[in-house]
Amino acid sequence: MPVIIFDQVWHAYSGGTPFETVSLCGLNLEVIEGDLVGLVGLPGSGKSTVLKHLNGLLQPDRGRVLVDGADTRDKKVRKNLWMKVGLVFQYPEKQFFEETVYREVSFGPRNLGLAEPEIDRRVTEALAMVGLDRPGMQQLSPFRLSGGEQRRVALASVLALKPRILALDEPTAGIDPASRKKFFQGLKKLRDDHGITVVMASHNMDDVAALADRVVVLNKGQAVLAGPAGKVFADFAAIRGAGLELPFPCEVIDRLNESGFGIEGAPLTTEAAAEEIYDRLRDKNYGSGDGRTF
Amino acid sequence: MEGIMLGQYLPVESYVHRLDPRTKILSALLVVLAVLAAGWAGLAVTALTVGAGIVLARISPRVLWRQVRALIPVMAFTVLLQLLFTPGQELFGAGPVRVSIQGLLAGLDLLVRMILIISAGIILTSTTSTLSLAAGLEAILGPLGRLGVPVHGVVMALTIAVRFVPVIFEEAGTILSAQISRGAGFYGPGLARRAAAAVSLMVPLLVGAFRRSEELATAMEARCYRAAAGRSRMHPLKFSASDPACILLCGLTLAAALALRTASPLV
Repeated sequence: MPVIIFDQVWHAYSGGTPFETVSLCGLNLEVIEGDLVGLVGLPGSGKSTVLKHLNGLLQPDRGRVLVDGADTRDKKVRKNLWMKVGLVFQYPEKQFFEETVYREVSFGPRNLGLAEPEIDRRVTEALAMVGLDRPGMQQLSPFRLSGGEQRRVALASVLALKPRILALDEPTAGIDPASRKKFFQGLKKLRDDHGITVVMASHNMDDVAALADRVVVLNKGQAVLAGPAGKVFADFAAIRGAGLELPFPCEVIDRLNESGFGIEGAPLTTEAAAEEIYDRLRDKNYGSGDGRTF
Repeated sequence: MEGIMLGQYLPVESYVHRLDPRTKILSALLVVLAVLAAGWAGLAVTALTVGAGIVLARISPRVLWRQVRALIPVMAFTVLLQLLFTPGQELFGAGPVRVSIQGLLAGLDLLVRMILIISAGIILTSTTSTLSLAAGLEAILGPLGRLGVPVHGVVMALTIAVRFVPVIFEEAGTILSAQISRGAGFYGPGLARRAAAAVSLMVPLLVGAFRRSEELATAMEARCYRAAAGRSRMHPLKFSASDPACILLCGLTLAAALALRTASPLV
């Protein structure tokens, strides 16, 4: 059974006022446990709203959301969902309020009511997971770290809750490419080692192509496309139809195909794309029939 | 943070929206004076004027209610004080609590006046964008500049403060959600946990406000902003035919309130 189910979910902000904005229009969505899911769509397509439904910050106006089998319309379920679903907001470093990294990361475990030695263990573990385990780190002020390190502390502060599901909203916005790569490696390791389900909302297609093994394309509050990453990204027309750009490797293949390359499928990494192009060029029959050369 | 806030601008087309901001500020002032000066009869007249304003500004009763709602605790408290502590002929009492006829009347009187003043304010703020409100205020306070008061600077500071209220509200909403997602006990039991939760909201909010004001100051200086430079306007204020009519109406309301009071001081 899927760990997350959205069943005909409708949601509007400021309902009944002149400022009403409908965000989700009968969204259907399923996520299998242990998946790395990329949620893509233009700003305003409902990505963040979906994430807030996951940990009970919002509830559907109509329809239902089941997380681990529990219906979020139940107030008791919503109240305790934060322990199961870790939600990392956009620019999560804005939520810092403590004097040291240790205290910042321990905020969540402390709210779980754990004993001090366990809190201590979780903080150390969470910081190690995001690669911030150098000595003295825990006693630094989180405000004085670099942007990439701040982002990782913020992630650790949610990981310290040991959630079964991790929901991330544009986690790489404003982060340098090196940190970005490390960040994705960390997420993959989390899934591989701990079986955590990851749902990442992003409008950066390259990020999603690099991380996700399943992709859901949102457009105007509905899931217009969902499936394995390779399959979803291969549907170039549908991706463009949702107002999105293709990931870089797919864009290259698409342009080459326009001039008759005829490569099938959608390579998700630059390396895979290079291989495809290489194979195609090596193909002896290619370009000989009609006299075209490259 | 959803819905409509007290004093929020409502961007619709209406007769009142099109008035010059100076007119609207002066009119609101005249109406407030009328409310303060009026006796019972005068209040009725003023209520008519305010009612006309609400209709002409196309503020729906529902939206009006949503804005007034926020002030109910303050109003209830004030009325309660009047009820309990006005001496006079006793209407009913229980234990040490005594309510007099005079207290009831005084409470009612105060309630009506408060509602009228708040409504006048709501008409002004919901039909006038912050920018044009500031422009109007600056024009009206202009003469003070000759006395050395930095009118433009003060109005600019006020405008910026008002402009950032919704931004900070929104940010507070986000931070609140983020901390709840880390299990902050804003509503749960335990005083210590609630205190910790409050700190986890206030600190990031303050840090954000400071960062934002620094960025804004830098951006303004980078564009060579100087408050005292005799700045011109993109949209100069202009009176139209309906402006004198509006001021006249509000002036007449004040005159009526004063006249009715002088004519029969008891009513």
